[in-house]
Amino acid sequence: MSILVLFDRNNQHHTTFYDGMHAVARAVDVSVFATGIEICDKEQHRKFFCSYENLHIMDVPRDGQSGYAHCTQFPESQLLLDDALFRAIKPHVQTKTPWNIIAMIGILVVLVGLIVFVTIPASAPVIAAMIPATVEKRLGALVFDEIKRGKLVCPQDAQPHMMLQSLVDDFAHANNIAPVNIVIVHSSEINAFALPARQIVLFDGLLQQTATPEALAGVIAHEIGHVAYNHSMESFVRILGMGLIVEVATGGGGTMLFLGSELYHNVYSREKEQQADEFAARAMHAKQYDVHKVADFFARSVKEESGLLEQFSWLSTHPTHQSRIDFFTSYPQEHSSRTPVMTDAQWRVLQKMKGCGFHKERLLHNP
Amino acid sequence: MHHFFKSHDLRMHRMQQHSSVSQNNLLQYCGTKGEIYKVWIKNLLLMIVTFLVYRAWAKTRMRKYIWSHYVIAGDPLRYTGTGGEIFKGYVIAALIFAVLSAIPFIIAMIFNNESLAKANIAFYLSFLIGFYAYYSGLRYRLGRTTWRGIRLRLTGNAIHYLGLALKRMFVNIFTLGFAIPTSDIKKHSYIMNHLFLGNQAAVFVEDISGLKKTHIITWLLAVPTLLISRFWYRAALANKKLENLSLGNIRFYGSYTGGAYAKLFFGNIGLVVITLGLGMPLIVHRMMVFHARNVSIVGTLEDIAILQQQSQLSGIGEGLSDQFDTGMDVDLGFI
Repeated sequence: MSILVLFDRNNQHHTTFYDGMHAVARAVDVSVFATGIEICDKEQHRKFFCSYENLHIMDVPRDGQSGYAHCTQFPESQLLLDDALFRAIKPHVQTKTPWNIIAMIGILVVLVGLIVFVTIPASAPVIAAMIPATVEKRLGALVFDEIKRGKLVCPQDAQPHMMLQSLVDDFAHANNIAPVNIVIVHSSEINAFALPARQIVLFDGLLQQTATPEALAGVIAHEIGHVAYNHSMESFVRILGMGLIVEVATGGGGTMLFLGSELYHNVYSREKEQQADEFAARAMHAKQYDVHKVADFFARSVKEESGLLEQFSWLSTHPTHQSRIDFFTSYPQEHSSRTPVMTDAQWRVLQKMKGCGFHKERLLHNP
Repeated sequence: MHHFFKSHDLRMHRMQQHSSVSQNNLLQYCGTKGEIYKVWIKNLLLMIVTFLVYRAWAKTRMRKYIWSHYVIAGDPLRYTGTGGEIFKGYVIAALIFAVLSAIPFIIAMIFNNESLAKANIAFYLSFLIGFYAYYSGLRYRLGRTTWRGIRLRLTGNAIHYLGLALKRMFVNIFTLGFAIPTSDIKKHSYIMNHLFLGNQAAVFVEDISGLKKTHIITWLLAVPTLLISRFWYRAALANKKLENLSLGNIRFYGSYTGGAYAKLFFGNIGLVVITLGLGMPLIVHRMMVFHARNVSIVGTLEDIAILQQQSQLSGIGEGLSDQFDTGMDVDLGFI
C-alpha cells in the first residue's frame, strides 16, 4: 500500500482542516492519490487517509469563497478547498454536482406549471360546485358589503328595482336556472357584475350610459350567464389556488409571479366573458329581443378604447369592445319580428331611477 | 464643570479603549462589490427563468457568500444550510398561512357575523406567528452557521420567546413607550442567553444603563425630527447589545453612532431610488461593511475549549419568517 501511495502521489496542497469536534484550525498538507487523500497535520504529527468513498464535497469554491469537503471519519469535519485542491480531487470524487439541484428545480417549475395551467383550471369548477350554498351565501354577503360601503342602494320596492328584477326573473325562468337577485347601487362607475350566491350588482352609472333597453337587457343577460356557469365561485377557487402556489413557490415574495398569475387569470377570464356573451345572445334571441342592439352599448365605449389599449387587449379581462360589437351585430336572428324589452315610459322611469332616493342625494351634491 | 470632565474623561477612555480594540479586532469582512454583484446577477437570472422557484436557493447562495466573507480570528464563518430546506419551509409555512387566512371567513360563516371577520383576526394571528417565526428562523440560521467546523446553536423555546415578546409589547404600550429599552434588552437577553458555540454558552447581562436616557431624548425628539432621532437610540441599543455579551473570555464592542446609521439608511434609500433596485448588491455590501466596521470582537479564542454539540434542525421557522418578512437578514447579517 505504501509503495502504491508513493507512486500514486501527484501533488500536495496546503490548506486548513477543522475536525468537527474542536474549534481549532489545523494547518494541514493534503496529498492527493488515486484512491483518496492523505491529510497530514505536521504540528500534531498526525496523518490520516480519507478514501474518496468517505470524502464528500459539500461546497465548491466559487464567487471568491473557498469550498469545503467533509470526511465521514470525522463527523462534521471541514477540509477547506481552494481551486487547485478542488481541481485535483474533483475527478475522483462523486461531487454533489448541481445537476441534482437543477433537476429538482426543473421538476418544481414543471410541477408549478402543471398546477397553474392544468390542475387549477380543471379542478376549479368541480371544487366551486362542491362549496355549500351557505358558505357561498356568506361569501356573497361579505363581498357585497364591501361593494356597497358608503353607497346608496335602490330599495326593493322601488319601481326601477322591480322592473329590473322582473327582467332578471324572465331570463332565469326562460333558461331554466334558479332565481337570481339584482341590486342597483348608486355609483358613477359604468359597471355590472355577478357575485357569489346568485347576485347581480348594477351601478346606475351604467344605466346613464346605455342608449336602449335592449343594450341594458344584454348586459343583464351577460351577468346572468356568469351566474348560470358559476363563474364567480370558480374564480374565487382559482384565485385561492393561485395565491397558495405563489406563496409556496416564492416564500411570500413573489410579486413577479403574482403579476404573472393576474395576467393568467385575466386571459383565462376572457373565455368566461365570451361564454357569458354567448349566453346573453342566446337568451335575448329566445325572448325575441333585438340582439344586434346590444352592440350599441359597446359602440359607445369603443371610442374610449385607444389604439394603445387595443394593442394590449390581451391584458384585459374582457374581450375588446370591437370584437364584442362584431359578435353581437353578426349574431344570426331567425325571427323577423322583435319584441321590445320595455315601453318608452318604463325606460324613462328606469333612467331617472325614480323612487330609489338617488336623485335627492344627487341634488344634495349638485344643488 | 466637574461633571463635564468626568464625562469627557469617560469618552476619552472609551475612545482609547475602542482604538485598542479595533487594532486587535478578530472580526473582518472581506467581501467585494464585484463578487456580490456576480452572485446577485446569477441569482436574478435564475429566478427569472424558474419563475422565482429558485428563490430559496438564491437566498442560500447569497448567504454562503456573505457568511464566508466574515472572518473571525482568521477563520471564516460558513453557512451550511440548503435551498431545499428553505423550500420545504416555504411549503409548510404557506399551508399554515393559508389556514390562517381562511380562519376569519370560517368564523364569519359559522357565527353568521361579518363583523367578526372584519376584526382582523388574521392580522393578530400573524403577529403571534411572526414572533414565533422570528425565533425559529433565527434558530435555523444560527444552527446552519459554523465557525472552525463548530455549529452555533440556539436553544430555548420559540413559544417562550413569543410569550415574552407579547408581554413586553403590552408593557411598552401601557408605559407609553417608556419601557422600550428594557423590553429590547430583555428580548435580546432571552436569545443571547440561549446561544451556544458548540458547548460554549454565550452570556448576556441585562444592563440598560445609559440606554434609557438616549431613549427618552430620542423618543421626545422623534416627531419634530421625523423619527431621525431614533437612529441614535438604535445605535446605542446595538452597542449595548454587544457590550453586554461575552463568550468565554471573548468580549464584544460596538462603535455604532446615530449619524452613521442615518447615513447608511439614507444612502441605501438613495441607491434604491437612483438605481431602481439594481443597486441592491451595493446595499448588501454597505450593510456588511458597516457592521464589520462597527463590531469588534476581542479576546483569545484559542484559550477556550469549544467542543461540538449535536442538535437537529428544520427549515420551517425559516419559511415562516420569510412569509412574515421580519427583515432579519439585515438586522442579523452579523449575529
